[in-house]
Amino acid sequence: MLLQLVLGLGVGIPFGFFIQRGRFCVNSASQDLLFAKDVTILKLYAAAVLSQLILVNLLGQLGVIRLTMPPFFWLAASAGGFIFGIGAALAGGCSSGSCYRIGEGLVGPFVAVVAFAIGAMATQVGALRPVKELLRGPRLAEASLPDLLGVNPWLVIIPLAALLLFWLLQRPGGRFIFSPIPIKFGVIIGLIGTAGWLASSATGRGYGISVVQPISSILQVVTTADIRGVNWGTFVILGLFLGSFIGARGAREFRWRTPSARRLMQQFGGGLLMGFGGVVAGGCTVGHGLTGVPILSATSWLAMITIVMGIWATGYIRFIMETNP
Amino acid sequence: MKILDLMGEICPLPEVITKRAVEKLAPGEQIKVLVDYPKSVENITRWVNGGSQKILELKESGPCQWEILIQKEA
Repeated sequence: MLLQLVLGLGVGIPFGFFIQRGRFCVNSASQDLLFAKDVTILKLYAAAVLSQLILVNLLGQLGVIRLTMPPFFWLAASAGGFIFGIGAALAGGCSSGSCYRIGEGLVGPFVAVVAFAIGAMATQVGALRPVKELLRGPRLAEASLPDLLGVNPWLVIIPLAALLLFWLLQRPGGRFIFSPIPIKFGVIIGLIGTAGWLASSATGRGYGISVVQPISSILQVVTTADIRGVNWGTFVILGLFLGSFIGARGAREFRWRTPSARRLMQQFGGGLLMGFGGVVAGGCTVGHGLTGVPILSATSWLAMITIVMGIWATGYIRFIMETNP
Repeated sequence: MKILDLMGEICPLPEVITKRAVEKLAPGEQIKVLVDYPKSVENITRWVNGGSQKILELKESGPCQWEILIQKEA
C-alpha cells in the first residue's frame, strides 16, 4: 500500500498541477471547437496523445510495461460514451476538467464529482448494475484498432503519429493569457501519462491513469470501509486534487465560487450521468481519452467519439436554451 | 449600459452567452461582462476581438474576478 501511495501521489500531484495549468478538459476542447472553431485545448490533447502514442507503445513493445487492452464492448462503449458526454456538458467539465476545477475552489464541479462517484457506484455494484451488464453483452474479439484492421500495430501508430505531428506543427496553437503554450503542456501531460503506465505496472495494476474506478473506490472506502477497490489509481486522484490546488494557488486562480442553485442541480445531474456512462463505457475522457486512445484500444476510440457527440448535442441544445430564455 | 453578470458560471456558458449578447447589441452600444472564470476570460478576449466588436477594457476587479467592457463597432 505504501508503494501505491508514493507512486500514486508522485504521478497524481504533477498530473493535477499540469491539467489545471493546461486546462485539460475534453468538454472545454469540444465546446471551443463547436462554438468558436478554437483548437487551443484540442491541440493540447493531441500533443498528449502523440507523445504517449510513441512512448507507451514503445515501452509495451520492449516489454517494460504490459498494455492491457479493454475488451471491445461496442454497444456499451457507444451508449455509455454518449451519456457521459451529455453529463460532461451539463456538469461544465469532463472527469479531468471537473476534478481539476475542484482544486480551483469551484463548488459546482465538486458537486458534480460527488454525483459522479454515486452514479459510478450505482452502476458498478448498485441498482443500475443490470443495465451495465446488459449493455456490455455485445462485444467483438478484436480489442484494438490494428486487430480490427488485421495489421501490425506500427502500421497504425506511425501514420497516425505523423498526421498528428503535421497538424500540431501547422501553425502554433493559441496562447492563453494566464497560462503558457498548450502544446508544451500537452507533451508534459503525455509524459506524466507515460510515467503513469510505468508506476501502475510497478504496483501490478497494468493500466495507465484513469478516473472512474478510483473515484468510486474513494466513495466505497468512505461509506463501507471496504478497501478492496483502493489501488495506485486511487492515490493518483487524491494527488490530482492536491496538484490542481497547488497549480491554482500558484496562478492566483483559486477562489471559492458557487453558481446559482439551478446550475448546481444541473451539475449534480451531469455528474450522475458521467458516473453511469463512465462505468458502462469502461472509462472516461481520462481512462479512455488520455490512456486508452494512445494504445489504440477500439473501445476507447469509440467511447471518445461518442463522448464528443454527446457533448456537442447537449452543448448545441443548451446554447439555444440558455441564450433564448 | 447593459451589465451581464456571469459570476459562478463555467465553461462554456460565459463565452457563449457573451457572444450571443454582443451579437444583439446595436452599433456603438457597450456591455459590461462580469466573470470569475479565467478560462472564459481567455476565450471571451480571443473570440470577441477581431470581429465587429472590440474590448474597451479588461479589468481584474478582485481576486479571480474580471470586468470586461465590450463595444459593438459603429
